[in-house]
Amino acid sequence: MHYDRSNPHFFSVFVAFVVALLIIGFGVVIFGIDKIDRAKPGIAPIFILMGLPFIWVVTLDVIDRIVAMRHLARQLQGFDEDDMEYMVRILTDAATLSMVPHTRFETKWRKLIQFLNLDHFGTIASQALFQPSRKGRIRYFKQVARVAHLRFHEKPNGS
Amino acid sequence: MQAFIVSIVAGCLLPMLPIMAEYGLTDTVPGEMWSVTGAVYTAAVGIASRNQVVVTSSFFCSTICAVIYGVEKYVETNHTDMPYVEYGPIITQTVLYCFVWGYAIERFGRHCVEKRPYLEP
Repeated sequence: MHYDRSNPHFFSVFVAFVVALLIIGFGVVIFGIDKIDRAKPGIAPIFILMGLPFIWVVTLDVIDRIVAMRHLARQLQGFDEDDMEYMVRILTDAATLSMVPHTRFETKWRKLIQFLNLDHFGTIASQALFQPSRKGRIRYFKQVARVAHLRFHEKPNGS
Repeated sequence: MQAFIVSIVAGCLLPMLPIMAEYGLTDTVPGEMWSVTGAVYTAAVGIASRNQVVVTSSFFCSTICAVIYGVEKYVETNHTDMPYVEYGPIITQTVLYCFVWGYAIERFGRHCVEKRPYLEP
């Protein structure tokens, strides 16, 4: 299976642009840029040209992270309780830095590993899934499992 | 959510305390105050960020704020008129406004979406 980022994510780009526009619009209102601009023309373009692209890029990055989480949840949808337990086990091990093949090398595992290693969103999800904090890993995985409507059992001792 | 709130308090509210104190006490914020806060705050946000765009633009904006601060001081001591100073406060306010929002949005992604703790090991 080949993963790439060829399909344009117009929706993400559009949502990020709307958010950026709202934030800049809010700034224009609270700073009274429109009033200042009438007295000293050129103020509003400075504000918009400096702020809009910056907020747009930062928002797009966060939207990418949300999309990555949803894509990961979609990959986990075929998983049963046994698979989830295995996932928790490898995530609990702080030394785990990437996804390792499951002993039962099934298609769903192969697809998950390919997604985490080759896809644009998979790489983002992988970074969050194998973050340095063990607590953070489990909380992220719990959130993904919730999105995928999967049951998640965390053992009391964390092992 | 807790990590995000801590992050907002530490990264957005605390650095703005001197500006708020200045405004509360004197009812006005001088241009140098905006520019010096902008220079330090943007550099700090850039250092703490993992987004390449934020890091790159923070160094650029921090330099601009520092230059504005320098020009404001020069104009103050030499009693000369410079049109550059006229736009100084609005540029530094824009930089501060954008970096506060950029920081908050990035931290939302880090703490609320990716569930990373505030203090990572």
